[in-house]
Amino acid sequence: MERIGNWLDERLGLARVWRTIFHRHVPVGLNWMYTLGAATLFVIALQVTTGILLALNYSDSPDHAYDSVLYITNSIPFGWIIRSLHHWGASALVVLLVLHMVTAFGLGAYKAPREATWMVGVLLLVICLGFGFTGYLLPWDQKAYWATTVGTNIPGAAPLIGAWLVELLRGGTEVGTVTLARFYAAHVLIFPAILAFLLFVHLALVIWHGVSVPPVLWFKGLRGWNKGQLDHDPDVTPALDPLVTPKPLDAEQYHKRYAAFKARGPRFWPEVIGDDTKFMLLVFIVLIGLTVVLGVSSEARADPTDTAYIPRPEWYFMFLFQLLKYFPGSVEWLGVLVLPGLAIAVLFLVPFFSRGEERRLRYRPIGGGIMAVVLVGIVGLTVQAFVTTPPTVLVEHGVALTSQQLLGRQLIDQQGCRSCHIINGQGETKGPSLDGIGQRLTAADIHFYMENPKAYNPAASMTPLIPPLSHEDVEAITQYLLTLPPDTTQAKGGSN
Amino acid sequence: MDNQNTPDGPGSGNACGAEESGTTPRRVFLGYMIATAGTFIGIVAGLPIVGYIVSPLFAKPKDGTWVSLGKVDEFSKSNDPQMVQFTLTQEDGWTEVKQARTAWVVPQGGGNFTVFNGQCTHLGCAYTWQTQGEYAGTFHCPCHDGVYDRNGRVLSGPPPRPLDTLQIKIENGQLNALYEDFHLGIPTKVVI
Ligand code: FES
Repeated sequence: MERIGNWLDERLGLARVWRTIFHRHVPVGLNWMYTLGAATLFVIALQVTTGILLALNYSDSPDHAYDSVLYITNSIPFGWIIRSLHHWGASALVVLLVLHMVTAFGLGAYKAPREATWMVGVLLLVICLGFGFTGYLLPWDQKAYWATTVGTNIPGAAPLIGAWLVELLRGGTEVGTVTLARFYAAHVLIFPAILAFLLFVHLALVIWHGVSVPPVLWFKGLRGWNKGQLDHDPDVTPALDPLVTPKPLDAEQYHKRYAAFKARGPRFWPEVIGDDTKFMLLVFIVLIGLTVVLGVSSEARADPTDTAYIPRPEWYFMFLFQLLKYFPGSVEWLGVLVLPGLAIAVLFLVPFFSRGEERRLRYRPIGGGIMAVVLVGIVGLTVQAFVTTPPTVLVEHGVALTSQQLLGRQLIDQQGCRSCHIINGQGETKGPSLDGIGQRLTAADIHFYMENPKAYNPAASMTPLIPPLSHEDVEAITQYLLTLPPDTTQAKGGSN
Repeated sequence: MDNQNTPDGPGSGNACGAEESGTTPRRVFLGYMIATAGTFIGIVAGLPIVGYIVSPLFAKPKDGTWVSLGKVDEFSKSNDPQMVQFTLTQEDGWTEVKQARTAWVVPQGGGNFTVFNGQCTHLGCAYTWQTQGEYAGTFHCPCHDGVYDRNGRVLSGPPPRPLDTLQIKIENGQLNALYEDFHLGIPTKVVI
């Protein structure tokens, strides 16, 4: 066994790689903020795994996308768990990324020599938002279709290249077959390749530079950390002189100081991984909880003719959505394209704006202030957006459908009721038209009829709906049918 | 300068042997804790993952479909087996597809019939009834020269079992068969 190990090691050098990664020491005094990166990495791994599984059964064409997602959710054992995990994982990823970034900023971790680590991190944030934007379209439901229609319209107002940008994003003038195909390709081929590369660089840099020392400790020096024991240690670092902190330490001084912190710190395996694991476990349990308890809400199939649908983006884009409202039409693109673009650029260049050795947030009032304003702004806009945007509603014949009625409407599509009945002006005439049925029958009658047609009318040729449906489903259909007026042809226009 | 970034740099200078090899009780304990948490995550996430991937193996057999093959009178006119082609609509993942299928109707006299699934039991090629030539009076499969008699028994060649008979029903002068597909290449007749 050992000989095989040695043979392999001589060829592959894995032992050295292992030692470099797992036996490295980290500085003393790390806290929970240093586990956020590992948790982010964990969720990325989860997204990759669940994403590959979803791709096994997904079809990226408008004719099939919605059905293939339904198939994953309803027909494949555990499919709903996989889909729901991927759905919640996306939100968790954004939350963790932002936390990771905010804490790294607060800790001054972007300062020398870790500028590149930070910059690659900003690119990772951008690519993850790209994943969120492209992934949102893939279920090809109402929410997906209309949010993407609006989202891809945004660049359209930009001068000169606006129309061109929209067509480039969509692969045509409308959101359609080509859009879905390119969003899917971006989501599963292009972005993952970029992600893998950036992630590799980011992690390699983390290992190369080591994680930063908590700012207060870095300033106080090791003498401030564990006085009694270290007083006689000749290597112990003194406190930094506040006079030197406006400028970065030179490389030699920096490395000498860092080495002293690292020499007394714990090892990556298993001490640091142990702390990381506790937090990962927490994240995992929360995700499983969301997956099982909330699941993914079902939405109706994308209907490009249904202009009454009020789309809204995924919650982490809501602040941009809200920002849109403060920029009048002609300069809208400034607010939604240029402003976020600039913000990302500034974020990317942060290490060059703030170069002094002072890492304590309390002594970085400008950076800390900007960060606070931006965070409050984003949170405020998000809250504002949720408070002021009406819930997604569908108005038909002047009636805003409740979620129960929406479900009924969707079930009617799924069950193919229109192959026998006219419903909302569309369908076959083998059975009676159901438009205006509320004026002929009571809710209880309609429900009872669908549940067992023969018991209601021995001559009925319709097959009972329970099973396959449940009483709740049948009631949802009933409630939707009750909203239909007798004459739907002229009322169709009223849905806008 | 790069020395300080490698495990062998000053960072590990003060460590004793046991500390470096990961054998202090604290490290062993931490190792177990990580392994336990990892196993927990692995099982909770792994169960659905594995179940999801292998689920096609546990799909329940498709129900057969009753197909109408034609008029009994027509089949009784000649003593020769006759081929019937039809299309089936089958669920295929999240879609429905139309698939062409064939069956052979063999008159057995007195208005009785045997109906065979049109796939060779070896690897599923389409066999045909021969009226002349070397294989006259047999079902011959061109792929690997499988030969069956008119009752479906294997006379020669690689087929591992006789032709698969289908359940039939005569109604209003119509011959109907319950069409099912069977696993190929094995000696027993197992419905898919
Ligand atoms: S498939 Fe018919 S003999 Fe091989």
